[in-house]
Amino acid sequence: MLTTVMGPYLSFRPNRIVDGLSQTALEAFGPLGWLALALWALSALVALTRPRAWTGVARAALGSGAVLTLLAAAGAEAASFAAVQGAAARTSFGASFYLALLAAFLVSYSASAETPGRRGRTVIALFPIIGLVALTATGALAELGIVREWVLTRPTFVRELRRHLFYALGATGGAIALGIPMGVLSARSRHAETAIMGSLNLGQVFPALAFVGIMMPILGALGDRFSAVKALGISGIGWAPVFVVLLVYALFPVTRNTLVAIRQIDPAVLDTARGMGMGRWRSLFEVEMPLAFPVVLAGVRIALVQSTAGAILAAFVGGGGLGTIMFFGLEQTSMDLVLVGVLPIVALALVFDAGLRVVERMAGGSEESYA
Amino acid sequence: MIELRNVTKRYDTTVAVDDVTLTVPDGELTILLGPSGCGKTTLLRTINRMVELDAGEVLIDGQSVRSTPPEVLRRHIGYAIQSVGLFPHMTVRRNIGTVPRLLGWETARIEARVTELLSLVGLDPVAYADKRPAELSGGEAQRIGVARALAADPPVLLMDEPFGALDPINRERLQREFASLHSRLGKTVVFVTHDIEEAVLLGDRIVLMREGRIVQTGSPEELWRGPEHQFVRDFFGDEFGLRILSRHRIADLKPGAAPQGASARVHLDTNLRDALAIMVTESVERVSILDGERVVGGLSFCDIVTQVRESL
Ligand SMILES: Nc1ncnc2c1ncn2[C@@H]1O[C@H](COP(=O)(O)OP(=O)(O)O)[C@@H](O)[C@H]1O
Ligand SMILES: [Mg+2]
Repeated sequence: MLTTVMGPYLSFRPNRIVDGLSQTALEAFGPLGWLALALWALSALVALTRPRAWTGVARAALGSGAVLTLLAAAGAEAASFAAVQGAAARTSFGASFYLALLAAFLVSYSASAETPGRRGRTVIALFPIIGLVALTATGALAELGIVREWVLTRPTFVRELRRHLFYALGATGGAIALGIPMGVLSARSRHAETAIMGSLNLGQVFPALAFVGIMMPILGALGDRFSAVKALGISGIGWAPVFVVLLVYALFPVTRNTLVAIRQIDPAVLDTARGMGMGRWRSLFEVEMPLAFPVVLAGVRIALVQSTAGAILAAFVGGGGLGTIMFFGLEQTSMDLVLVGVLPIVALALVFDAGLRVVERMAGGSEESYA
Repeated sequence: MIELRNVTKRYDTTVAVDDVTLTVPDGELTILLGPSGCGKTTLLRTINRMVELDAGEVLIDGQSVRSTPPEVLRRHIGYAIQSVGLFPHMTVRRNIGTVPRLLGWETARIEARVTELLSLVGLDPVAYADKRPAELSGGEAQRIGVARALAADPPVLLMDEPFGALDPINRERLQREFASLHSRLGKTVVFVTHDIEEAVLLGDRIVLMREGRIVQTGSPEELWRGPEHQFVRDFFGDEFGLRILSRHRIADLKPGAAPQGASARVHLDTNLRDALAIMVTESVERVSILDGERVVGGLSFCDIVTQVRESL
């Protein structure tokens, strides 16, 4: 906790390239730094008391408050630094800020675990979000390095975000279209299972980048040989190799979950379905698929989260996506720019994950479903 | 009428059903009885083509079951099994309406039928129609299972140990209800069980099987009076006679003279096994028979023992 206030917190650099000056939160912010420290201490104090219905919420509020205070103070410092140094100035976060962020996350997480009601947990999750939105809306953060980079890259950002979503949603959509029939087929016949699950397993163990490397000449040759393929925009470079690799990775959880879900249906249910005169298709659509749905959905969720993260791959072979921004940042040793690429990916993955979990719960699935 | 002619079914090395010929008369409740693994389930499932034959043929009302596509055939044959197999994602209403839906009935007709069937199996339609299978007790689930099998009013009903998974009290209650249901509806029922008590209680006819073959066929009384093999005697054991007694009521016997003075009284509807139990409990050889409040005669220990063998 102390390190978060005592360690290198902000670095000030006149521009992106040169090394700057590091300061701790207390050096940089004075009284606001002490306030954050006090909030932390209070939060720790609450943690020591006997847990009651409200203690979790209080603890999370204090923890989030500390980090939000630090954030606001950093924004203010960045603004005054920029006023001196001009538009090229970059005020970036140091290790201590990330530690503070992690600490706040852990506090909120444990506080959420000890809070009994769903409403309390929602409140805990909303604290940091509302705080962040409020700070952004008031322009308090506008001069921070990460925000500046974001503003600068915004035109490219939108384009790369779109491409990133295309990879993630496209691969997942393809996995649904192909994986569910493949899973059904595997559940029906042992031969099909061996062939399908065997090859998908093989795809799983391949290192992703090597896999892309293999796909490039193959797709390139396909594109050269068949003009119809080429007309689709499929070639050895660009989106196609990455898309295919992401698709293969996404197929695995969807197919496996479909297979497992159908296999675990009570045999008596299938027996009576048949015994009452349902044909194969009817039994599939009226009995097997509805019963398998929550588990299949869990597979889709895993595929989507995995593809969202995996789409970074595209940047390696010039396929675009948010990974491009990240690599650009790495080249320029600008942590801020890296974050502009990475944070949205993390956020997307979290949102997809949470959203599909809600749907799963409504569909009657269990919490832990074959992750 | 269901006719099985020289029916054989093999699995790899085992012969599950071995050259079985059997006629199941209309409107009767025929029991397939025998030790576990003797081929009862396999034989039952040849009737609705859940098992395809290696040899022989199965006819329903003179027509081979192979002349109809299996799905169509099965929609006209009720089917209920021990593990019930209700669809967990459907309401009771939808479960019961399955076959009518497959047959393309109109919604209103299905709805009316569901209500009728729930009442028939002794469940309140309002309370149960919208429940899910997970909310039902074992006995309730099995009642729904029977209702579902009866939904499209099939002339033939196949049941594979339908009450086998229930606790003794529920099992007996459902057996009695089913017996009265059967006597009202007059369906042709083929009923698999390995439980002798159940077979003797419910069966119009018992088909006793061993190792894929039929040992003897007949009413419980016929098997009791005239066992054709030692296996029949061994299988039913010494209690067979007592179990036969439970099939008959005092009203089925010729009444004797009423005993003098104070005596134990039993009602005309009491079954003979219970009457015997009362004699033993009260330490009397003779009881008065009541019809309502009126004494209409007497029954002695000897009456039961002699008349049962001769006249039932
Ligand atoms: N699908 C099957 N595959 C292999 N053997 C089977 C199959 N079904 C039944 N059998 C065998 O056939 C015999 C009769 O089985 P079954 O008809 O289920 O007996 P029961 O219902 O009288 O207990 C048993 O030996 C059983 O192991
Ligand atoms: Mg059986």
